[in-house]
Amino acid sequence: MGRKLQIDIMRYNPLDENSVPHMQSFFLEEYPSMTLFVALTQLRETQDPSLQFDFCCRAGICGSCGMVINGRPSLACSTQTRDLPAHITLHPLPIFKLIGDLSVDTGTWFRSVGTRLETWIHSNAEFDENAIEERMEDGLAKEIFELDRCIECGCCVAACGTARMREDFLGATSINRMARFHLDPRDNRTAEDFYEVIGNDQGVFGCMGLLACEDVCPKELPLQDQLGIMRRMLAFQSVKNIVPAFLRDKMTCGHDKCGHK
Amino acid sequence: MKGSVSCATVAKTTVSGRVDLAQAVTGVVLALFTLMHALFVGSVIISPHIMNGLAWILEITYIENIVGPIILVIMLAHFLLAVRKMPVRLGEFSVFYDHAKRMRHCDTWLWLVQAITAVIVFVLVSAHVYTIMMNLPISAEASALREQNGWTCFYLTLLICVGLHLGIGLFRVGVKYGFIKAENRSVWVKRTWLLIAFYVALGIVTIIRFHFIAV
Ligand code: SF4
Ligand code: SF4
Ligand code: FES
Repeated sequence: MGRKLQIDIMRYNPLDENSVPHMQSFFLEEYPSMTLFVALTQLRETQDPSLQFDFCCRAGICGSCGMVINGRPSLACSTQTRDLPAHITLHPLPIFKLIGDLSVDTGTWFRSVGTRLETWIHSNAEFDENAIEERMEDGLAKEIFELDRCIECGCCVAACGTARMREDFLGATSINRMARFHLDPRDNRTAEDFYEVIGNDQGVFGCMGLLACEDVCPKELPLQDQLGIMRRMLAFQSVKNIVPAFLRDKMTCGHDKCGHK
Repeated sequence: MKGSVSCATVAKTTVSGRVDLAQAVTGVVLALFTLMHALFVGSVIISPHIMNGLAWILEITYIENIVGPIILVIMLAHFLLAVRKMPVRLGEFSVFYDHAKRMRHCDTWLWLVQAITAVIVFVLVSAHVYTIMMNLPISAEASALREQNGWTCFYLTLLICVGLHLGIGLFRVGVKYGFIKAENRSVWVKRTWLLIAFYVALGIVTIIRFHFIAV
């Protein structure tokens, strides 16, 4: 016999003039291995067809089901109700544009950040379609892939106190993205180039090290470490010209990659 | 090739990075000074003579005259550098507060502690340094007199706020600059709390000791 779940959901439809944000309680019987995805779908099918929320892959891959679950951003499809108390509260992710109820538009945010930071490989090499793809060390490829696993769910941004206070803060996901290109030997951008886009209070220097991003990322990306690496590199970049040469050599980040640039 | 960035671009401004580094460096310097200061004053626990001896060294080397104002300036600088991160508008504060409440996330709460202790420390330290500079030279008896004349609450508040601000601040610098990594984070969390506990405990014992010095 499953528990009786009480699920409080924030309801609001921005398109409806008469709609005011409010919490609505739903009741549902839990069964084994029920996820929030299953629970919400059941609510919509059996209790309220107007309930809005997003799902796509249902397997923690697409990043569309991010929502605030009992106060913390997480993926609804990978959250089992048995790991939650019988009283569950759901809010939409803050910061992103609300579409309705639990559904938010993360796409526009990520696209605009991606365009602004130019999150693609910047190469000066002439493209030769007949050439064999350049080889990459296995270790490096894995390192890059580790950072590439971000599914752009927006949880880290929604969990970040800085992002909540400062609308223009780029968030851990974007800095992680840049770290990924910084690692990639095919990208010709230098520390100066990176400094120009994220060497400011909207980027690395805005982060206050609250580590909420690290703690909520459902894909467990190494956000804390990447933020540290990028901040150190870019802070060094800003004083490179005023530190004495012998110190400068000692302080250069020791990353093989920087040598090649 | 289209969309490529020339390697010749130079950073337009280095200000953000330097400001950030300066905030970290001034913070660490202040923390180190504060810890030395705690040990110095704490020497009174063993004996007022030791504290007076150390004070005498500081006096004849003019360190007390020089260091006081320098520390004040560094503190002012640190405050001004860090204030850009503070929830200056009421809206920001309440957003952050609601956020922390909902998230139930320790590090997020600690940042609020950091912002609040910053203001308290700034005010109290200014008063503290002012009275010290007005009553030079430093001596165990002068400090004991202050403690016994109703300054104990003032110093207890200052002690706790400085302890928290210093410990959390050092931890935060470690995180921000990648010295504290995900793998050793829990160890450093423990060390941070130990440092805060040590600092506050030492301070409390010192204050108690001052109450037992005849003046
Ligand atoms: S870094 Fe993690 S939390 Fe942030 S968007 Fe990517 S997967 Fe989501
Ligand atoms: S560590 Fe930085 S990016 Fe991550 S939640 Fe904290 S302030 Fe935001
Ligand atoms: S539905 Fe794709 S991540 Fe949850």
